[in-house]
Amino acid sequence: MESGTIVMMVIMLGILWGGFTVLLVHSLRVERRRKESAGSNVAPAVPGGSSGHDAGGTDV
Amino acid sequence: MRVNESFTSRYGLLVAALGMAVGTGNIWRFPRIVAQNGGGAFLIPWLIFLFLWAIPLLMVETAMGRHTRFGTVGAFGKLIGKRFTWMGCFVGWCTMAITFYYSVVTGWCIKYLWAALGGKLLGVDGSAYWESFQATTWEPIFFHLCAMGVGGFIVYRGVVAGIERASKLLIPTLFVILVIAAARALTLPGAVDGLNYLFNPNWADLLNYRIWLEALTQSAWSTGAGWGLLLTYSVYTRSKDDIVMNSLTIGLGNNAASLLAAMAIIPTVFAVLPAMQASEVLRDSGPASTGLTFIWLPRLFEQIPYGAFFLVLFFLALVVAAFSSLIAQIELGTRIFMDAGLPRHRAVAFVASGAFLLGIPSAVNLSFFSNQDAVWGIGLMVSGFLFAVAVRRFGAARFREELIEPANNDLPIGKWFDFIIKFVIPVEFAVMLGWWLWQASTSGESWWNPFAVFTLGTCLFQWTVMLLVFWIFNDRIAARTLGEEQ
Repeated sequence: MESGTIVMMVIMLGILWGGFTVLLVHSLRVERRRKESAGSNVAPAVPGGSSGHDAGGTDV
Repeated sequence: MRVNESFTSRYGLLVAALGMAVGTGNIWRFPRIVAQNGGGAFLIPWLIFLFLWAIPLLMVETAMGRHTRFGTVGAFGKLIGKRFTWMGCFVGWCTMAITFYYSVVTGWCIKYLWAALGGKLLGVDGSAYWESFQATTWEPIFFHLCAMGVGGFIVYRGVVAGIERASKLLIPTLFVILVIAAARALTLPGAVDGLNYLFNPNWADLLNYRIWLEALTQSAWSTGAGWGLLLTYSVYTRSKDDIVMNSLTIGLGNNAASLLAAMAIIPTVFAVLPAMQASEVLRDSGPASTGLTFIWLPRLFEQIPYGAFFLVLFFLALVVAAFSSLIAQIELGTRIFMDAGLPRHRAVAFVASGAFLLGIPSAVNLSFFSNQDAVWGIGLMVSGFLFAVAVRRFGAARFREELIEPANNDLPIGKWFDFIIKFVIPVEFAVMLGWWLWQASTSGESWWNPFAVFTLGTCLFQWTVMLLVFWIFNDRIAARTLGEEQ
């Protein structure tokens, strides 16, 4: 494998896959933390209807 | 119609948005475009435009959908005034016009998955099989109907029970398939040549402006930035959900999937064919750009160990990717008609049946298909530009301060956002459009012909007709969608 290939692979995979994985894991952790801190205030999801979360409180 | 649904979690929103972004463009288009534009050198502008075009526009779409709680038509009218509703109409129409033939492509993928499952793609001439499939006429229409029917049913089920549930199944499945396919490809003897072709840059290629323009087009096409799809999904997000990090995650995840698809396909081609022939095959567009995917890959897969299994896996990935994007497109149309007062079931029925009927010409005539692909594919650049115009009109700094910063963003957003929206995106659009106009007008004598397949004339003619229609009916559409809102 040529050296240019290795350098580009590391850069591209690092930014794209590394970045994507880190952000996704972070997002899920933050979501879990917020849910835990919200405790029982969060209503369970209702398939096909309102999830219990606000959709912005609009009257659209 | 009041918005009474929302994604149940951030993960639900992210997989749905990734499903919207990751489509056939990642698996079918990206490997071919990389191969046609210098391999490794192409990756650099492609990455740059991810940050300078796609991700800022994804942030704009998220904020507009969240703030206005309207689909594309109402969002533009509510954000910058009813007299600009035509902008949202054009964005919505552009994406729906793509949906008409995207459903046909999804149908092709279903047909080939079915054929791969039955072992009918092995040991046959790929070109002859493709031509016999197209010659039947009824088959492309039937599979187009299947695609639109299943997509319509998922959207009919609603945001949580339909879109979110389907995305939670489809997207992890897609990523697992891509990882398995890439692992298989990279362990084939000779795969290293493919990796060198894909990653090793020839720096001189960066002086070729065509590579930069193809990279921008691919970024716009593949990430879904400027389509209005993320705007539509954002109507169903919670009012304080993150905007900045979610947009980054969607953009990076989309490009990561593209790179993985290329790492599955390009090394496979090089492992099976001699290097010279491999690069020719990768550049072969074929009819309606089907060459690599529908004609060559079945031939290549039959030459690798367990090729039949991996061929099924490949077309399964294509079907999954196509559906996850198709449902976002159907939802975009559905939301627009729901905003106009239709209940979901009637809006879905109207959009799905209309899209099926308007997709039939593309299903039976590949020239018409190619024409629509060119006209509305390039039209996406106009759509992206219209988003930047809307934010500029609203005030880029005000947009950032009032619509983006109040969200619970895990990453801060700075004044760079204002600069990109006000200057960088318009300059990108102007350079690209100017280049395209110059290229198109100097490439042939009939460049003005509005009824030819690939001419500048046909694009300008179709865009102008639709813009005129939306401009004439602007007030009526705004009144129907927005009512007394402003």
